[in-house]
Amino acid sequence: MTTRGGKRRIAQAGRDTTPAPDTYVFQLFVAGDEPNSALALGNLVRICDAHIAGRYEIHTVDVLKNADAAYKHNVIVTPTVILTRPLPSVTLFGTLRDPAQVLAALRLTGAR
Amino acid sequence: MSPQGTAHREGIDSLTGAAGLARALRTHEVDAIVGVRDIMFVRLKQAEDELESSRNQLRALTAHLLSVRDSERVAIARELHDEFGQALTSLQLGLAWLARNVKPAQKPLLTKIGALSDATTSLIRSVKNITVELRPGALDELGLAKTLKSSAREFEGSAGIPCGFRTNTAGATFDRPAAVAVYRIVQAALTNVARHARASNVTVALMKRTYDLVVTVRDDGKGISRKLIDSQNSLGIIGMRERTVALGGTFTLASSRSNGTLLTARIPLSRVVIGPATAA
Repeated sequence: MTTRGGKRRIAQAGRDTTPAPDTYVFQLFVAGDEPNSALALGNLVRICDAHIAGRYEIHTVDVLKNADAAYKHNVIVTPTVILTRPLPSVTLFGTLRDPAQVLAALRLTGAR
Repeated sequence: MSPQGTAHREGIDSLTGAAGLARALRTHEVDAIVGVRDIMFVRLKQAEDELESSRNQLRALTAHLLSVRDSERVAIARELHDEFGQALTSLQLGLAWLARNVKPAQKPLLTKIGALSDATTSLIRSVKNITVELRPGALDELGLAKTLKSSAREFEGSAGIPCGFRTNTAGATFDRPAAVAVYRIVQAALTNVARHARASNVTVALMKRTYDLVVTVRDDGKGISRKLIDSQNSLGIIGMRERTVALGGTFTLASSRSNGTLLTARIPLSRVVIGPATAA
């Protein structure tokens, strides 16, 4: 699993990895470097940087290397992004190309 | 619901749940399906692009083949007219000279010459018909609309089925290869009607619309099955469709047992009309 985000909590090994309460945590399931997966990651980062900069973490899961994680989270296609925090969790499919829809689905509309 | 609430609802509906999954699949935003045992890559868009590219290549090839066939037809028509036609005319003149110079006492010979002369006349007529069939010279002399009107009349005579013709293209000048294509489409359509439709009425129309030239051939016959329309063996239909597509147009065949068949070839005006025409 690779991590990307404003606070880099998980990247700092050996320290407390619990994200701050106001941090948005995403799990993005991708299939290697497939184009739609790459698009989804790029779009998610762009949206997060624009709206919740410094308050998000993206954990990328490559299903080609870690299929078990995909089964565990009932992921059936890539790209799939799951907002795990704050609850309730939300699962989104596709490349996240429409920022307005993504913001609405992630309850981020108006979040700055 | 407030506008913000509506946007939120739409966002959820379009990206999440079964609807979101279906949308992602439909719009080719998925690149792998995670099964229980396998991870299957889906490259629908790529496959579609490749299929479209392959289709385009096939269309270009067909257009080229049709063009080559038309050129060969013109060449064969010219050879037939210039060589065969002239030879037959010489033969007939020779037979006429012989008939004039045979002594009245040689009646059997005279009868034979008469029979040969009739056969030669028949041959000359056949060559002329074949030449016209191969190279519709009338297109140059009369223009597309009048040639089609003439074809409708000839069809009436040969098939014994009343065939009307209407147009609003008086005064229009057509691109020669495009006009030949339209002529061939109508010719093939009428051949199909004569052979298969069991129609009692046919109407051919050549209509200029705002953006397209619309060619229709409508009959009240027994219709044609979808299976036959889509069959790879329906070469006449394939030829008509390819000629239309080669001109950037669309080709449709609507058919039913009770209403007969309506063939429509819709070709962009920019590809077929090069001169002014009366308004649609």
